[in-house]
Amino acid sequence: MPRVIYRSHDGEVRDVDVASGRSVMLGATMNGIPGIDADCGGTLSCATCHVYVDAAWLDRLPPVDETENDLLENVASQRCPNSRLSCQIVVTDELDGLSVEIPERQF
Amino acid sequence: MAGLVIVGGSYAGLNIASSARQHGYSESITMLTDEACLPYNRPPLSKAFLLGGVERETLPLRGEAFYRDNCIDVVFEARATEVDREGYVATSKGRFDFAQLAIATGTRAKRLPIPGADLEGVVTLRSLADADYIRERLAGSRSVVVVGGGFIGLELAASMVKSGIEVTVVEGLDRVLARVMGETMSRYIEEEFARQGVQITCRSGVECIEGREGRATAVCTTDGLRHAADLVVLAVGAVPNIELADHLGLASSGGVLVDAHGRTADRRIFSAGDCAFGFNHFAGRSIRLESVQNATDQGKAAGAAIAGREVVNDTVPWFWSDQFDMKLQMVGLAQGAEREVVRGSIEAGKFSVFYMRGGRVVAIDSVNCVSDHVLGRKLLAKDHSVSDAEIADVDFNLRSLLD
Repeated sequence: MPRVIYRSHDGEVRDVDVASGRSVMLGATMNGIPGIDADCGGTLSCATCHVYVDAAWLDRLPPVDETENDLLENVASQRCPNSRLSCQIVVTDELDGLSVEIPERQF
Repeated sequence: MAGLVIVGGSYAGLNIASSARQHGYSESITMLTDEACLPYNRPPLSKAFLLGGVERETLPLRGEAFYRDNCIDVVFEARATEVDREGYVATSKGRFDFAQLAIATGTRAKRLPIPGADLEGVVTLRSLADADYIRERLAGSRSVVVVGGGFIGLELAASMVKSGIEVTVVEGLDRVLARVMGETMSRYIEEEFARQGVQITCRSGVECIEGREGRATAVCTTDGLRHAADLVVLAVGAVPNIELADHLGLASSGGVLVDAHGRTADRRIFSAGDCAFGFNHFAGRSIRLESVQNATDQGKAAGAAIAGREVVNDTVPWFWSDQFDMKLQMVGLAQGAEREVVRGSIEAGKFSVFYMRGGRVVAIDSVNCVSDHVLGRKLLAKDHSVSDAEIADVDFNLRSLLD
């Protein structure tokens, strides 16, 4: 099973197995990783599952679509070029080892 | 050891617990839920889950690890029957002493006092168990009547027609979503449903539900029609579960009375979510809201207050619904609006209705226009002044209003 590495804003690192086909958001909510609120449950409505993707992985992800882009305008912590909504990152074997940082605030 | 006892295991209950911990609450936390599972994501129940598109294991809002790591004990199938001022809750699973109590009991589906409402095959939707039952019944159904053209009724109708079932929506008022949206949006949504093959009949009350051998077979309406149905869904609104608070004299106006921090008149007792009638910063008065956002944000504020901290919950109310290819998003409160202004293209199915009062936007309903919605969450939170003409002009940059 692919592993995803979650780094909190103050540097705590947790890595968990996330089944292929599930999102980085679900990997966090199902495994007790704090800081990803996911208020809308991954339906691209809320912008509370914001993560910063490690630069090495950024171009291996599918591009940001219009809806995600609009929602990223509303994230509580600063939007950066590596900002993504973790509900839109579906884990695959190719993403084994993906590393993301969780921002300080989601709301 | 009597710490915090939370009655109710959904969005508000979960957020009260997590926020209390986050703000340093160190006593025990016990969450009592009358269901058999951890708090879960409810919006999919009327949508993808019904069509088998969501795995059951992905429904919990937080996995078991979260409750373990945060020392939150969840007691399943515990139905609270009474709160005693001596400091305990009586439940079907015994007595739970509390130092602080949070009432996050939500709502239950309204039933209709009409003949036939208790027939087999007449269902409501609030819980996972309800959704499982509807799913099971849908398999053998050819025609479904949905009573009520609100969000849950329309979401169910949209999901069911997708699976090839004949669906009729019976609405008592003169348009769908009349309680929550303006006329422009209602009409647009009605047309979209008609295009997708859902029959909607408005100004149509339900007289009775007919049955054979104890099972529902048809819905008879006040306009003299008889709609055949293998399954009848009552989606006519919700009733807040305020009985526990009412017995303590803490409920009124159809809700558990709380301040902006979820505190009732009893300093040990708090409430949040669909059942709470509380001060809302955006509205400038006390209101009761039925939404995930409100339950989440009010729960966070109440959890902080329980830990002895005050956080200001000034989120502009927002809500969403997905029906067919329509991504519907609402922000603000449209009550008291004087005018509706359309921005974008209704023909292209990508537009927003701005609800205006004087030179202020008080609410925005969007169809496939996430940028308007996102802007609205910021714009409505601050003082602003804008003309109808500027809003209707898609070349006018609404972001300039945020400066």
